[in-house]
Amino acid sequence: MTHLLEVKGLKTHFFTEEGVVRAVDGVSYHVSRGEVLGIVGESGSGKSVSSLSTMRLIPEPPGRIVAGEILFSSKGGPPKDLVRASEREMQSIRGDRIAMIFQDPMTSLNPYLRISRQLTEVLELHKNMKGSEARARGIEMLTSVGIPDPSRRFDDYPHQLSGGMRQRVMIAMALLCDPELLIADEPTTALDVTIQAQILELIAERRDLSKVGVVLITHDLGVVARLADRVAVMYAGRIVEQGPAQRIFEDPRHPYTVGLARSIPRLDDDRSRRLVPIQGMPPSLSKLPSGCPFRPRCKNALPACAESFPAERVVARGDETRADASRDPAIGVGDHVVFCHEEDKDKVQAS
Amino acid sequence: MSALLEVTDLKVHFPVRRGVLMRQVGSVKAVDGVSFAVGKGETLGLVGESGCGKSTTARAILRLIPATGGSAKLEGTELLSLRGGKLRAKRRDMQMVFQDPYASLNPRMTVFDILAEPLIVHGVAKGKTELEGRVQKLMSQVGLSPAYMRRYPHEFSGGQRQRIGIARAVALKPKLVLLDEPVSALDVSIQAQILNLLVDLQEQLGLTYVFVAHDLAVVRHVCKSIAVMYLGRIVERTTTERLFKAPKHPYTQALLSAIPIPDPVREKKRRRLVLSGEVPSPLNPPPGCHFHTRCPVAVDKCKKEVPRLEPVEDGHMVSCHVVKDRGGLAPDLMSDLG
Ligand SMILES: Nc1ncnc2c1ncn2[C@@H]1O[C@H](COP(=O)(O)OP(=O)(O)O)[C@@H](O)[C@H]1O
Ligand SMILES: Nc1ncnc2c1ncn2[C@@H]1O[C@H](COP(=O)(O)OP(=O)(O)O)[C@@H](O)[C@H]1O
Ligand SMILES: [Mg+2]
Ligand SMILES: [Mg+2]
Repeated sequence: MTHLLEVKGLKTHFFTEEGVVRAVDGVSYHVSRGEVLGIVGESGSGKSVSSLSTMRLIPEPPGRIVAGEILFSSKGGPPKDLVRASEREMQSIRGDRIAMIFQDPMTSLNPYLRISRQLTEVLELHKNMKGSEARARGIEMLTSVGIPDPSRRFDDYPHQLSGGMRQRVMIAMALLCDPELLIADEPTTALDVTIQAQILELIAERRDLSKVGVVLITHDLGVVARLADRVAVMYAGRIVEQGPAQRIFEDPRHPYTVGLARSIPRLDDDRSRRLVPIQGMPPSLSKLPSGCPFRPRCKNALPACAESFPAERVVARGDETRADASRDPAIGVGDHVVFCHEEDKDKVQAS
Repeated sequence: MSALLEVTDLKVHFPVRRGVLMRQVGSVKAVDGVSFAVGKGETLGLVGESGCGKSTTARAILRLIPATGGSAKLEGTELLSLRGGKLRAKRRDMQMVFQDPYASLNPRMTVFDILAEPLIVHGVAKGKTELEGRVQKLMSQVGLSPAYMRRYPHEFSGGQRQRIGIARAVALKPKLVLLDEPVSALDVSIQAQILNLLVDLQEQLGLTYVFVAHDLAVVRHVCKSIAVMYLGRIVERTTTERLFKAPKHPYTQALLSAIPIPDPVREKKRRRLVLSGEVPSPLNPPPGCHFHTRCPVAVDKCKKEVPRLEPVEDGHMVSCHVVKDRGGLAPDLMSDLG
């Protein structure tokens, strides 16, 4: 089966004065239509760079995609490698077939232009839609993302709206052309939880109604649990574990995944439990340790971990692990894989 | 139990001025009648969404900004009317830790200078050797290597900077520490390190904390009791156990149901009350109960009369007409969802 998006062995590096920053250092993942892939990891682990690579928005220089393929199958057609696409081709894909939303809505909104202008420009560019038709479509989109009084808000400037409203306008703009893939990079990190709940519902609704595939980047395991069908855990430019959401939460096999889950306080745990932090800090991406980048913080480190980054090990095949039977059977299906030299699950989970 | 800190009807209103004459055209009632008490050695959590007045409450207690009215007593001493030398002396007993340790640390001072300053100002240590000894001990106490004493804040990671901020706050063994979102800017794996440090220091030094945060899962772990704020007022205040087991105020219920739990199976089964709309502007708050514009069970009275924060059960304070009319029973919002 061809996936909507399949990233294979992607490496994106930055060539700086301090040395080569290996921001993304060989990651592979895929997303299907109507599916949400959650990418979790702490700041600086390469989540944003991997998705900016998909959009071909890496500043070059200093950055460059040095290896890998980004296969995108628009409208069920044959996969196209975006790494090799021309800027012209990318312009017709960006904002039309693939859209991106960010933590800071002002990344995509122009502060000097009315919202109406910004929305109708996108429609004119990609859909050749003008005048009252574009206006009507813009207002319809604002309505569907829950902006109250949309026809009045339509002619506002971004600064006239609250943070949560700007986030919605950015989402409206991203969804305007009915994209097949939505990349959401920390879309709710700056928002309060009650507004976060609204935005997550909105994304879920679009996924169900228009079958948009979603790459949801976040550092919040709760947000991932709420929305993601599958999860990829990133650490220092690598995916260290990946699989159906339920498996990653219930049967984690990488010491970092286990450590993350232990270190966060949760609403449903024993509140007198002492939190178990992961000692130390993530490494600098320009001075990575040899072998596995998690080794200096890992309680399970073995001699082999200093030698090489571990090969992919399949914990469970995708066809054994259906994520959510209530939805499309093709959704949420994928192998549970881990990149760790320690193969003894009890040792990893007991650490 | 006599409280270490007792805050009663605290009000902080900021004037809003407009025009060339800077005439006052209104006021932001950032804190509008907040009351709570914290026992010695305990931790009170102050939670609520951004802009509800948490930081302003903390700052007013510390006298970093003037209060408009009310009272804040530390061991019986009124803080809000202290002046001059008496205020300066009292500052030793109350300290603050900020969310962004970088913004709150002078970038041109070394860790030694930052930590020695309060010791010098309050005359508790002098001379290079004594100061160095004290600073070294402080650094070890918060998990920083004393070898880094001559380094500048920018040479440290976010988590380490927060350790410096905490070391500075506890340098004078204060009685009260106000922690304003102390882990919100940190990565989750680092958050736990800092939370554990705060718990350990509290035990070692007998500190009393007011813990300001918007992350309820964090607050649940470190606080004995919690006050939930909405638009300048406390809507519910009780022990942590009770608040999470049986939240009564509709806002508290919505807040709790909005927080994602890192468990996909539970998340799929959970019923959620998603509030519509946003927090109204504090410049022009709605009359009556501030929450009525978003409340799924509001009745007519909520639009007109301000509810009082009253006990509905032993030690469980709620400010809600509907809860009161139901004899202290929480409205079942989930069933109203259908
Ligand atoms: N333009 C750039 N020049 C140099 N390094 C960069 C650039 N953009 C990102 N990086 C580096 O790439 C790494 C990964 O960053 P990012 O993908 O933004 O992390 P995340 O989104 O997981 O927080 C970081 O170490 C960051 O400093
Ligand atoms: N110095 C100030 N002047 C005017 N308004 C202020 C000032 N400080 C805070 N506010 C306003 O007071 C309200 C409460 O702010 P704050 O206490 O910072 O909230 P929180 O800490 O809960 O996010 C907000 O509406 C904020 O804009
Ligand atoms: Mg990022
Ligand atoms: Mg604040």
